[in-house]
Amino acid sequence: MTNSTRDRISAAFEQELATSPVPPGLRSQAVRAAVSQPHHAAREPRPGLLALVAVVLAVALVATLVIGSHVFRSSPIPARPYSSVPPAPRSGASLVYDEKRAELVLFGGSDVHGKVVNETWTWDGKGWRFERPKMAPAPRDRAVMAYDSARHEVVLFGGMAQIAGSGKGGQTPAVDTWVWDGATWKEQHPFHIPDVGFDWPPSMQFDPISQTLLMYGFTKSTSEGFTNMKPETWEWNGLDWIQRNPPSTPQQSGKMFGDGRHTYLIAGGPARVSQLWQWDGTTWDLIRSATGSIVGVPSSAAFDQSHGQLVVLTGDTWTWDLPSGWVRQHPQTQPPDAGYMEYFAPLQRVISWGSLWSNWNNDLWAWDGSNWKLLQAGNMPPLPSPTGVLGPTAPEQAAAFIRSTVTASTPVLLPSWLPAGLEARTTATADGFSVDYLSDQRDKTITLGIIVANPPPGDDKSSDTRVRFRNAVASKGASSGYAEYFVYDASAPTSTRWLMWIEPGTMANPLLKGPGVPYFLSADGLTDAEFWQVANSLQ
Amino acid sequence: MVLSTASTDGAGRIQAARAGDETAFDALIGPLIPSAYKLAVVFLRDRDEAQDAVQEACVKAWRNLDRLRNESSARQWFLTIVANQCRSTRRARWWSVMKREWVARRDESLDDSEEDHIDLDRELSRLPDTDRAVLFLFFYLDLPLSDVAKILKISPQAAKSRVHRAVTKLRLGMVEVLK
Repeated sequence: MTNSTRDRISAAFEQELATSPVPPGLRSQAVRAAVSQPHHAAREPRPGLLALVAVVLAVALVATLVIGSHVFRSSPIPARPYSSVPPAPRSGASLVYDEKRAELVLFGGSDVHGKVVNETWTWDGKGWRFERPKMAPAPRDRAVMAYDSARHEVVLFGGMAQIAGSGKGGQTPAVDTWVWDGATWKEQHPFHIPDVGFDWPPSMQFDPISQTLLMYGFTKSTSEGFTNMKPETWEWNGLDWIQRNPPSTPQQSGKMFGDGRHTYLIAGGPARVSQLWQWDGTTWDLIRSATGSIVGVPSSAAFDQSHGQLVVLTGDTWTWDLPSGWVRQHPQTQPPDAGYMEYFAPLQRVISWGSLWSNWNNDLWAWDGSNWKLLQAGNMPPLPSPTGVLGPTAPEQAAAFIRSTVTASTPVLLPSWLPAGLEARTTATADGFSVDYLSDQRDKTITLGIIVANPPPGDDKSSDTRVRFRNAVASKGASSGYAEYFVYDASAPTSTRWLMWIEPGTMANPLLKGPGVPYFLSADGLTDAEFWQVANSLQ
Repeated sequence: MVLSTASTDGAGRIQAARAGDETAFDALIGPLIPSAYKLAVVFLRDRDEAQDAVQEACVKAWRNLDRLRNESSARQWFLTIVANQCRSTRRARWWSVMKREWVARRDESLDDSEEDHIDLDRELSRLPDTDRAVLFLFFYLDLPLSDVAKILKISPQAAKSRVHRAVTKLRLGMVEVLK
């Protein structure tokens, strides 16, 4: 390896990283946030304390046995005790409602330390129990799990299993099948094994027509770009996995749900498109396709049997039903994150526990059709409030915040015209800012900022042109006086579109110093005329 | 007891940080934040996600200080946590598409050396994240292969072959561009 190679690659990284300088306050912010958390070592009990606890427990155990043998000799088996604490927060876990036992079952996931676990927890509407089954699947996250209404058991398939010494990061795709009978896990030994991977999570749901569990997923990825995965549909009949070859099938990852009569799958993608598919026992039928307000697949979703609606959490609360489509709800309060959701029949509520993506939330919420209620608070301390973040506010308040915060870059451009009724969510530092303007139903969104995240690539329907715009400085993307203008789907009047240019001006950050200030303006749901009205109003 | 960190050595700093001393923790981890952030940007290609990943990694480092044996291994230890966090972040955003660089385009005003540089930028941005990470750790941070291997949780042999493979991809890519 020559020094020239080293120098050239280092220089290329240097160039790339120049557009992402280390945020000035990151060190102090990260350190402060860390030390505000409970200290792991400090929480470990001392040996002396452990001995004392052991003695007390031993005495309690003996007393219980002696007294119990006399007093409770003819009593029924006592109820299993509730845990004094809820399950620790975890990402990548699996949650399902066990109809027979009227309990939620939570399995696996990665805990706050990144440790992949194989814990089983149940929640019966009153409290959490930490189960101690004789057998359990290996520790894993992203397993797919559903309740089998024909055989009255919970079925778990695959996931990314933690097996020492195998796979990247010690995790490897699992292809085993297990059932939970309320007391223990039992491994199944089917003749066939679904060829689905877990880069895009599969979804599973009981199908009342075929009386089987239906699983929809994608084959394993063999490339980093996730470009070569094929959709597959499988059925679990209690003994074996049978692959179905439907004449038509969704092509995007999806979330399945059932209304008791049919099995549906909401599929999505990076664009704002929702497709509703229905399984008729033989094939997937596309029954509705609409440009909507939910980006991608609703991972955090459950069918609310009381109200006949799908309830989705994205940070906002959405409901979906056939006549109405997507409707953003306005509850007084709501879970902060997309949680693990299930309909809990005994309470006739949709439950959301924890957070799918973060390891910092183990609250339990219930949705009654119009509001969320915190049923059981978790035991995690609140995270420190982020700095430089504002919103939602009116655009005028966002503008004042940006102009007072961004002091090291000039000019600061903001729109003097916006479609009516938008709210703003803003992030700003001395060097730059990013502001999102959102309509109430999220069907119109505008993002403006100095150096924002790079947009996704287009496809053969996209149009990428250079347009005269302001006094733009020459850049890699466009010549002097021009901006790069990108429309994802030129045939769609309100397709996503963006404009990127270098505004004449200065930035004080030495890593960003260059000819001018890089700006980015993008929009979803705006016509070309509306978009340019916003762009031309920047001042 | 919270130790004073004003004049403590590496072992003292770790001990003080374990005891809850913010200054000691800052002295231990703070200098590593820029490298950690850059690694996260290389991995995730998104500034906001990189920032979140570093903050989350800091929390995990704080909670797992008892696993840090000596200060000389702090960099490798912390970058391992950051790399893990980046993997988790990447897994969590399975729904999103890969974000692209603002791809460099031919500009008449550029001389040959600049063009060559732009080609390399472009090829680097096209590499899989894992290849980018191995190149970043080995070439940019100048870490020994043994540390690269530990951070990415692969064997030293795998780290070595991954560096060679990534460099080969870069060169092939550039040849294709020149054709």
